[in-house]
Amino acid sequence: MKELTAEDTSLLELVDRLLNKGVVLAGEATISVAGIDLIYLGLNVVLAAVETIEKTQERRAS
Amino acid sequence: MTGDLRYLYAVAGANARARVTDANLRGIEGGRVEAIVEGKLLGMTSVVPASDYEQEPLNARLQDLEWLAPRAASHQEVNGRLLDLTDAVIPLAFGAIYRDAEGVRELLRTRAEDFTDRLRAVEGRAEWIVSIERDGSGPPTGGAVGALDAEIAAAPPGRAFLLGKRRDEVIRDERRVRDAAVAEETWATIEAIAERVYREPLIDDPTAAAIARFSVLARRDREVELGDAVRRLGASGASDSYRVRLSGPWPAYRFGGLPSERIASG
Amino acid sequence: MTLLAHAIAAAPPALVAPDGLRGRPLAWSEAGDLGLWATEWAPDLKLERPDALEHHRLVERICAAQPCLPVRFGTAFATSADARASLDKRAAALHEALGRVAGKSELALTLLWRGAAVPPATPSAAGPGRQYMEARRAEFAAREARRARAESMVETILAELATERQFVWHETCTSENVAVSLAVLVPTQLVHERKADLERVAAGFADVTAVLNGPWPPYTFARID
Repeated sequence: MKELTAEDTSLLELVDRLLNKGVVLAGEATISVAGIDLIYLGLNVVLAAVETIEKTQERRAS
Repeated sequence: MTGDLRYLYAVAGANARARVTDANLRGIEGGRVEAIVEGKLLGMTSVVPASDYEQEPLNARLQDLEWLAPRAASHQEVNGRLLDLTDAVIPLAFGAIYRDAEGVRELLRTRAEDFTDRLRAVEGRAEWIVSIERDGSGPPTGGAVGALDAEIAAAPPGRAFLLGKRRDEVIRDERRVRDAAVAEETWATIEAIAERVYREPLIDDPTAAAIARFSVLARRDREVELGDAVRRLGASGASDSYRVRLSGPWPAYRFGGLPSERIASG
Repeated sequence: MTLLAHAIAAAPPALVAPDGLRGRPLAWSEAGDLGLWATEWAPDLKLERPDALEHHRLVERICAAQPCLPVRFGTAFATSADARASLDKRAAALHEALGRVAGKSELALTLLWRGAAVPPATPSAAGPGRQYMEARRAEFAAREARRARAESMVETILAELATERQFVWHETCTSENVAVSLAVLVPTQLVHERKADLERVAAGFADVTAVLNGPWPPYTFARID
């Protein structure tokens, strides 16, 4: 069974807050920085964060 | 008589005196309901013991639901009868107590114009409550959730964690949108029939079943139309997974109490 | 000057070290009695993972200095005039939110399931079609049982916290591993006691592991819609 450690969970809870919580100032704010749509940016950060967790899990498994 | 106070149920026009007296109503503590006339108004009252209804003991009693419930029911019963017996009645909230008959007269004197205006506004009319409740967990969720579900199924645990939270948020947002749409549709429907509609404030609680409540003031002869409209709302596809209820007619607890607006005659 | 937003606070700005993201200057854009803390950015810079965590550390630093509302990471304004207009438009709601979070910090409690949800398939004499149905039914029943269990744990936690509804946020069963994810806003001076309370309540649940985080800036309670 794929389980999450306390560290994984803590990082994920933080990433969730950074990407999905906080005040949303839509309209006047450019939601893309350097032409990258925030949604994709979010996913990139998600993927990057998740990559770390998966690499750690691989290391643990071996 | 010492040790007694006057409980005030409602205010009506003095012309209703004969009818309400003949009805021999009984109210709180079984007391006889009497009309106290002052000018063009009358106050419907009964005698209550000071031991229970003086301010301090009353405040303590109000916390006791077992004591309060049957008395609130008596209060409502009297006002319900008054709605039938009069053309216009302004019901008071539970607990309007006066020293004696003179106290009631003074109220009717000093607030004569105000009460007269309010009575005119509710003449031939009654109040209904339309409430909307969520019925069950809601319809199967839409495309956005389905797409997320597919992604989540294939995702490793970290990504699944984050996507799962997003899915929950999407569901909550969709539900909020659906609730608002149903409330809007209901409001529009009853506004077409009613004279006045007031959206009652509700606590914002996602777990509560009630999502909206409206007080409705309408002429009494529109009762059937109102009932039909509410039934149609309840049966429509758009309000699947919602229950729309109608209760009434009630005397105008809400609209008798709102600051009276100058209502154009005619 | 592109501004990369971090947090909103009431004027006047507190004394905060002037370093923003990647060592670039931290700026305060004031609109009425509100202001935005942001890094002076350049439009051609790409945001990367370390920036997200650095943004979090900045928000922490600002929140330690004055009550503030974290802004969604990645929010950027083309000019400070745009930033100010954005604050003006929502001034009342922002003030209300600041009032809600002042003197408080966010704690996060995550309860992870121990063990599998679905009972292992028991060998059955039934044919494959029937076995499939039985397995699905067992799976559904197990999920429903988990959902009920998660809701009941939330009730216990809420009763223990005895906090106003507006200061608690919770989700249940959002993914395979997660039973409960709960955020609560507590007075900053009571953070240690509240953490101990949450640990104690969670320790009473044998079927989950508790992960406690915080104090954090009030990410979950900064909503203004």
